[in-house]
Amino acid sequence: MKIAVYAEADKGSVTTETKELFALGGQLAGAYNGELQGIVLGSCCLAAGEQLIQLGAKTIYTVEHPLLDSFETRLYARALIALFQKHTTPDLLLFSHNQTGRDLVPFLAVQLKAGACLDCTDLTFNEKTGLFHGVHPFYGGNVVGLYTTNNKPQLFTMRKGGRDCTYQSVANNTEIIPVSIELNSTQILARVIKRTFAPPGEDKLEDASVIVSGGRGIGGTEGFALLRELAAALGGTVGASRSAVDAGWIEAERQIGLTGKFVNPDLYIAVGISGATQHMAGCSTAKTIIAVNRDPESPIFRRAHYGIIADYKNIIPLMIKKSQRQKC
Amino acid sequence: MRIVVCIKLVPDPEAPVSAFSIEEPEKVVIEDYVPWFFGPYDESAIEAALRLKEEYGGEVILLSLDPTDIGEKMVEAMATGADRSILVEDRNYDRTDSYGAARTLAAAIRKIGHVDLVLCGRQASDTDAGIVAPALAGFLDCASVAVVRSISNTNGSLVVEQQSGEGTRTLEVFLPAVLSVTSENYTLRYASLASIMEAAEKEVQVWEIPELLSENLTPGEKPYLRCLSAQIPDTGVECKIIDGDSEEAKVNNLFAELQRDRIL
Repeated sequence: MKIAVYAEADKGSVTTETKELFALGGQLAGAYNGELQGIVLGSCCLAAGEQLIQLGAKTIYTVEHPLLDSFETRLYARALIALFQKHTTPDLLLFSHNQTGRDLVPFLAVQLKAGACLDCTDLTFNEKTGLFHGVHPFYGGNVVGLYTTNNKPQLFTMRKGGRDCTYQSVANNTEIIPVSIELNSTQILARVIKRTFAPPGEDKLEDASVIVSGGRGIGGTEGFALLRELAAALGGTVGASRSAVDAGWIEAERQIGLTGKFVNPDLYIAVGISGATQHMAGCSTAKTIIAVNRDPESPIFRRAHYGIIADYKNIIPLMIKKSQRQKC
Repeated sequence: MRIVVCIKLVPDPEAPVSAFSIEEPEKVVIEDYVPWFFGPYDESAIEAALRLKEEYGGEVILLSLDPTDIGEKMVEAMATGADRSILVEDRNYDRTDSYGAARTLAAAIRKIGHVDLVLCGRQASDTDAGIVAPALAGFLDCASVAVVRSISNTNGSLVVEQQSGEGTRTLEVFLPAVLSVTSENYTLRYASLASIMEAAEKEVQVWEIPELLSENLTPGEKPYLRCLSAQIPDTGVECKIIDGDSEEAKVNNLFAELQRDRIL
């Protein structure tokens, strides 16, 4: 059984998400007598290839072509299809659930006449049927389903999961196989003009141990200034629900939830947030959740450990004062 | 520019978890009181299409599968400014089958003809799959960009901003293309009562499936995704509501509890 990982690198270094995929793939390969493989597309292939050996891959296919330097959905799908025509199609092909995963995988699935399940939190193998099953939350996270697909390769995109990537056994007789394919520039249907990155300075949400998060109840950008003050006093950072982002009160990069970031802080303070499942899906692993909301019927009070029923505009300044006093 | 917006009627995304139950092993049952809408991302796709039409001219066509009970909602959606709408009637419609939906939509789009741009919401609020838009592009073998925050027509090219990692990719996209739209810049406008009444007069085309599907794929050849089982996770938490005579007292009591519980 061949278990392949679609590997990605950033400036020549394999990404954390890719390392998690190898940890998962390696675990499955070990348990079910499979061979772990890596697939790398693009110019920085060779350096990445060597790193993948350290992650436990036995065979690494490197598909190098100047046109693959920039991701474009159909071009990348063509490249993978060409790879599978030259070399055996894997039984399982794992992707990260990121921009590439969202763009490429369903498109590729259709052109391979194979199915794909996106945004899986876990993956298991059914020995009776010989099929892999992905765990995928839906209905905003209210329901969790076990999914499978037809045909090979079975394609899944995995949500970033804080998987332990520490130990990998390096395989014997590893092989890096360069694959050359024909691509031409007339096949490109979209081209990147510009890349911009969110301003640095504010802490990465996924790494934050304290998050003060605002929702529809905040009412405007001024409210978020107050939340930023509380976050600073607690040594944390600010997050938001989709409603607040859609209202234009805070940047999209701060969104927490099913279509935003998944966070895992020690302390999550939900201010003016109703507690809708698609938001809670992004913060439910927080150790302690405190809710501040003036609606006593709000579902947030069934999801938080502590709650204050009051107007945040009065509560947050008091919390800021208390936190600042604590620090001294 | 001829723009087709694919929209899907789904149960209210704000429905509480108590509205859901499972009929073994994998059928999700939703209480009757839950209203059905076009999801928030589908609405964003409609708004994006309307803005493109306002700025650059063209035609906006709404396309949906499963016309059951959709009539009124379709009229409201049309009233925001779309030119016409098409419902594809499929007796075997399965709203959990993303690939099946993408195949049918692709066939309908080929039948409409001369479609420049297809917009979809980034994911449906029931499946949360995010499959239809890129899969549809796969069937049409055209340009595909998922999770787009803005679309404009600059010097005759379609330029989109895509949400990517910690930032944005700006791409020039060659038509025809399928884009899935995210909500942060696109909130669907309200339709006036007058436009709703006007839209109610417009004809909604209903197409039937057999005439649409020209390819005859055997079951093994169709891509599919099947739900084997479903469960409702228990997420209830015991919440300590902090009381106090004043707001200051509440905050003091909260901090006292947090300290006592060794959280602060």
